[in-house]
This record gives sequence, structure tokens and C-alpha cells, in this order.
Amino acid sequence: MREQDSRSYPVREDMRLQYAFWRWQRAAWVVMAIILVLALSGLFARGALSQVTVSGPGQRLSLTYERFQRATTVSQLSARISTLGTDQVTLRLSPSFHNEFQIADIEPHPLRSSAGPGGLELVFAPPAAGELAVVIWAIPRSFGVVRLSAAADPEPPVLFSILVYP
Amino acid sequence: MDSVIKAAAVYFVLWLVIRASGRRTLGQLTVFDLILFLIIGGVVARALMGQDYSLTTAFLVIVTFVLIDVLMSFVERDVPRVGRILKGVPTIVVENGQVLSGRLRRARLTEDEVLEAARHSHGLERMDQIRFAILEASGHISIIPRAPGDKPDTPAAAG
Repeated sequence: MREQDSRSYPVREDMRLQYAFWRWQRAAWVVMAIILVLALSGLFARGALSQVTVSGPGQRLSLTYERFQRATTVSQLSARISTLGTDQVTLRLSPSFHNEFQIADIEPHPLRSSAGPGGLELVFAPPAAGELAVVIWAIPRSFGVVRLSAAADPEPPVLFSILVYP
Repeated sequence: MDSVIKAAAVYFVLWLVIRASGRRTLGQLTVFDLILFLIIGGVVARALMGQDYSLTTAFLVIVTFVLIDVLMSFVERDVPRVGRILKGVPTIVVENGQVLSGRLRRARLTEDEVLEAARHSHGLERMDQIRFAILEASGHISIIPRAPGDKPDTPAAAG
């Protein structure tokens, strides 16, 4: 009797199923390895594939964020804003940001902030020289695709979206 | 509601991963394997509960796990074909003292592990003293020794 044949004594074998299972098992290992490689590359947040930088049409506002994030895990949104010699710099974030994210910290702290139907408005003092660099640490409240926008007056808003994994 | 869905999802993902890791993992747990399973348990527990330490969530998660487990046992019992897929089937790896090396290799077992099981369960010393070694669906290796009258080179009656 060949190895591939099912025996019926002392146990009833089903070698067709067993060989199919072994094949499935090997395929599953390959899938798990692919998942690990994708995770290392940032497909599941925190990596090269995830990090993205977008700029407004006038290049006044530049945003660096993670396009893939995980629910309830803090993530970084960095904004670089040209100050244009003004005494205050305003960053507006869409209402979806306010609804879908919990802000853990903002560096530097804004002079004042307000939230309304237009979203979240953060007003900062400009640095002595160069661009204003703001870092917002935020935690997605739930999973799904979140469409967001950010604007630094007078530039039109920068639109971007984030996929939040469960 | 999300606790129940999360727990159900975790149950099926864990089931897939554990099944994909093979029976070897289930039967021949080393100390390191045990530590790995404890770590997996800890990671899953945190993902399931998050910052929610309420008794209600813990109760919901436990009830979901137990209920799915009971349902799976019903399926295994009442739908044999599905049961064999869910649970696995026993596989003979030594027959009349002869190692079925292809099967042993695919099951990621070694002859030493079979001999260890033979020593442990029956105090056997050599492969030719084993009539059947069976890798059970549970992951354990069952050993059926040759009867005292059996000649080592004579295939035992089967069927």
C-alpha cells in the first residue's frame, strides 16, 4: 500500500483530506509571510508605504501623515506652514477630524483653539524664523476610511484620506 | 455589540492560525511553545478589551467564545465531513515498524519524536517494536506496540 493511500485500520484515515490540509497549511504559511512583509513595509501603519506628504496648491501648507492607521492607536500628523510674516498662523482641520479622532497632544500648544461647524481651528504664534512646524498626536476613534482636509489661510484646503484598521 | 463581533473575529482568526501552525504545535508543546501561546493570549486579550475593563465586556467576550466553541462541537459531531475539516483526521506515521517518511516529513515530525512517544507510553526502545504510530487529530502521537508474538519483519494483519 502506498503512503498516499488511506488506511482503515487501526484508524480510518482520509489521506486525500490530509494531503489537501498539508497543501493548505503551506499556502497559509506563505500568506502569513506575505502579511509580515507587508506589515514591515508599512501597509498596516508605521512604515514606508504608510508615510505620505502632501502640499497645498500654493505650497504654504505641507502635511505629513500616515495613510494607514490603527483604531485606538496614537499616530502623528505633522504640518509645516510658511508664516508669510503674519503674527498668527491658523490651521483649520475638517469636522471629520474632530469627529473621528481624539487629539492626544499638540506641539507646540496653540495660542487658542475652537471647534465649530467648520471644524477645528488652531491658532499658533509663528516662530522667530522659518516655517511653523506643528505636530498633532491623534487617536482614531473607530475604523474605516476617513476623509479629511487641512487648510492654512488663505490657501484652499489640502484634501487627504486615511484608512483606519480595526 | 462590538465586543461580540471582535471576539468572534478573534476566535476564527486564532483558529485559522493555530490550524495553519499544524498539529505538531498542539501535541508536542515545548516550554518555548507554551510561552509563545501565553504571549498570543496576552496580545489577543489586550486587543479585545483595550481600555475597557468592565465586567460586562469580559462577560460578553467569554460567552461569545464559549458559545462559538459549543457550536463548533455540534458541527463536528453532526456534520462529519465538516468535522473532519475542522478537527483534522488521524494519520498513521509508522506502520509495522516501517516509518512512512513522506507523511512524517509533511507532519513536521521526526523519528526521534515518535520514539520518544513510544518510550513514554510503552517503554519501547526501537522502531521495529512499534506496530502503529498514529498522529492523532489532537496532535498527540498514539503508539500501538507489536504483540509479543509478532515477528518484527512480518506485516501485521490490517483491515
